[in-house]
Amino acid sequence: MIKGIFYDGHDSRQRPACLIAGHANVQVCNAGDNREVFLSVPVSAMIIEPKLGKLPRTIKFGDNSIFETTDQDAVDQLSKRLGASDGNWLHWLESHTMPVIGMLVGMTVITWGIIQYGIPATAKWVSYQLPAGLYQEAGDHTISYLDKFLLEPTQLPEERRQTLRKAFLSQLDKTEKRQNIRVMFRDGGAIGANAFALPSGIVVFTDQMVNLACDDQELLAIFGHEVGHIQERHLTRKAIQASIVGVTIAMLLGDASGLGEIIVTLPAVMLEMSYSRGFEQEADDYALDFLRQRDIETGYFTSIMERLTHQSYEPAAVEAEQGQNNRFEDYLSTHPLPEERLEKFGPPAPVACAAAE
Amino acid sequence: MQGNTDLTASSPSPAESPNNPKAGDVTEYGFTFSGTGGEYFRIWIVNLSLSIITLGIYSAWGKVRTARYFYGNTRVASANFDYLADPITILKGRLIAVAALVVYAGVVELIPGVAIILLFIIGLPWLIVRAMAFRARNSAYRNIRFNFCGKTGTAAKEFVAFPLLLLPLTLGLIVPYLVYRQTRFIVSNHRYGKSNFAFNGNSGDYFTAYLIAFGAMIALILYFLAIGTILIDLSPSSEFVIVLSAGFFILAIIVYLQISRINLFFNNTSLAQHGFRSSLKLGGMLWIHITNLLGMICTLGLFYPWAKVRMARYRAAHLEMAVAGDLNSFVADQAADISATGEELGEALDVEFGI
Repeated sequence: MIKGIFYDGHDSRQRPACLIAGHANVQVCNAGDNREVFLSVPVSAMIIEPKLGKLPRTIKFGDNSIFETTDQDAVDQLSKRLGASDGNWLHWLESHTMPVIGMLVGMTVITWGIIQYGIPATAKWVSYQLPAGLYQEAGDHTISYLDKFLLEPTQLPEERRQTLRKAFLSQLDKTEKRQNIRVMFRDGGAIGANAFALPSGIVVFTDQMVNLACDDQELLAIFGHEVGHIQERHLTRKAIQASIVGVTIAMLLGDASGLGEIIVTLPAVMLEMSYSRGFEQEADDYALDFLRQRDIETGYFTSIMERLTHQSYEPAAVEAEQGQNNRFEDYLSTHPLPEERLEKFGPPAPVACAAAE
Repeated sequence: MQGNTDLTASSPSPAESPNNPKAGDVTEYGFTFSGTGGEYFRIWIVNLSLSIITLGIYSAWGKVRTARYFYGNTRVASANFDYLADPITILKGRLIAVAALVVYAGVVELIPGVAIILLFIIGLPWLIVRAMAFRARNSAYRNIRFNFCGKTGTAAKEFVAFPLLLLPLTLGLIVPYLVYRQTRFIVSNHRYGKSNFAFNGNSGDYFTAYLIAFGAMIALILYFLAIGTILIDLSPSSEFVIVLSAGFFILAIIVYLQISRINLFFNNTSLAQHGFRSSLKLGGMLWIHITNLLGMICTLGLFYPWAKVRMARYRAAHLEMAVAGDLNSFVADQAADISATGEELGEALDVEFGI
C-alpha cells in the first residue's frame, strides 16, 4: 500500500488516497474512513512516470486521473515488480557521480572536437556543394550594397587601374581563372586602406590601399591573399559556420533567458573571431605559395602589412599593445598577429617610398 | 512563507493540505522552489551530453525534463506544478523551426527586405499566440491544465498594429501603455481549467515604473557627461572603473523594469476569487543577477544550473497566493491539442514570450 494524493482530473480537489497494486488489478481508494474506491484498473493500464530528482512520483491510469506520492522506495519496488523501469536509466545517470564526471569530461572533449574540426569541416563541405549561381548572386548583391552605404567611386586614373588590373590578372593560373576573378577599385571612405574579396570572385582594392603601396608587387601580394579567400570560399564558410554555431547554441541552451543570453552570445562571438583568424591564416598561406610560385619576394607582403598597421594605430599605442596585450589579443583578434606574419613572410622587402600617408 | 519547505519534503497528507478552511477566509500561501543547483547540474550535464551524442535530437527530451524539474519543484498550497508536453511534439516543432531558419537564411539575401518585414509582422502574432497556448496547455497544477485562448487577430492588434501606429506618433512615450495592454491581453486570455484569469491593473502604474527608469537613465547620462568633462585625461584604470559602474547602473535600470513588470503582473492578476502578491526587490534581484553573472564567467558557464536555480528560488520566495476559501473547486476543460511549432519557432528566432 502506498500513501499519496489522488487527483481525478475533473476537478482540483486533493484526495488523500492509498494505492494498492494486486497481481491483476490496481486500486486507488480514499485514505479516510469510508475506504471509497476511486479507481480500479488492470495493472497493465498503470504508467509510472520516470524518476526525476526528488520530485513526487506520478502514476497514471490511462484516463485523466493521477496518483501522486513522495514514497520513492515504494514506487521503486512497484515498478521493479512490474518490470517497467524504462526511463529510470536517466535518473541513474543523473544520480551517480562517475557518469556525471565522465559526461562532463566527454562533453568537454566532444565540444572541443566539434568546434575545432566538426564545424569547419561541415562548413567547408557545404560551401563546395552550393551552386555557382548562388555565389554570383550573393557577390553582386554585396557589392551593390557596399557601394550604396560604405564605398565611394574610385578617384584613381583609368590608366593606373588598367595597369594594376592587367598585372594582377596576368598572374592567375588555370584553376584561379576558373573563378572568374575580377578586380575593382573604390574609394574606401570610412574603411580607409583595405582590400577584400567577395564570394563571386570580385577583389576590391580601396584607393587608399593602392596609394599606400610603394611597389606594385606589394599589391600583388595582397591580391594573392584575397585570391586565397576566394579559392577557399572563406566568406561562405564563415557564414555557414556562424549559422551552425547559432543554431547549436540555441538548441543546447534553448531555455536560457534574460542575462543568460548575453553569456551564451559571448562564446559565439569569440568563436566566430577565432574562425576568422583561421581563415586569414589560410589566406596568408595561399598568398605565400602564390608569391613563391611566381618568384616574387614574399617580403612585399610584410612591408605593406607593416605600413598598414602603423598607419591605423598611433605608433605609441602599437608599442604599448605589443608590450602587454599580445596573449589576450590573440584570442580576440580576427587577424594574425604582426609577428606571426613576419615569421611567415620574412623580413620586409626593401622598398623606397616617399609618402606612406 | 507558510513553512512550506516541510511540505515539499514529506508526503502530502490531509493534515497539511489546505482543503478545509472555512469558506471566505483568505489564506496566504507562499510559493516555494525546492530544486537544488547540484541536482539540476546533473540533469543539465546529462541533457547536454545526450543532446550532443544524438546531434541535437535528444534536446527535445532534455527540454521536457528540465521543464518538469522546474515546474515540479515549484509548489504552492501543498501542490506542485507539472509540465506535460510530449517531447515528440517539441522535436517536430524544432525540425520545422530549423527548416524555416534554413529557408530564411537562404532567401533573406535574395528577396527584398520589405517582404521579410511583412512576413514577420504577419507571423509574429501567430507565433505569440501559439507559443502561449502550447505552454499553457502543457502546464498543470493539481492535475488541471492551464489554457490560453487569445486570438491571433487580437495579438496582431496588441503586438504589431498599435506599436507600429502609436510608437512613431508619440515618439515612444506610449511604451508603458502598450506594455500594460499586452500584459492585460496575456493575463486575461489565460485560463486554469474552466476559470478565467483576470487582470485589474491600470496603465498609470506602468507609466510610473517607466518614468522612474527613464529618469534614472537621464540622471546616469548627465552624471557620466559630468565625469567626462571633469576628468579629461583618463587613465586606463579609471576608464575601466567608469565603464564598470556604468554597466552596473544600466543593469540596475533594466532589472528595475523587470521586477516592476513582474510585480505589476502578479499583483493585478486574479483567478476566480483568489489573488497573487509578488514582492521582488531591486536589491535582491540585482544581487542574484550580478553574482550569477560572475559565477558564470569564473566557471566558464558551468555555474549555469546554480544560476538558474537561484533565480527560480528567489522568484518563488517572493510570490504569494491569497487563497479565498480553498482551491478545490476548479474544473478541468477539455481543449484541443496545440502543436509545438509556435513555441519552438519563437525560441529559434530568439523571441522570448511569457513571464
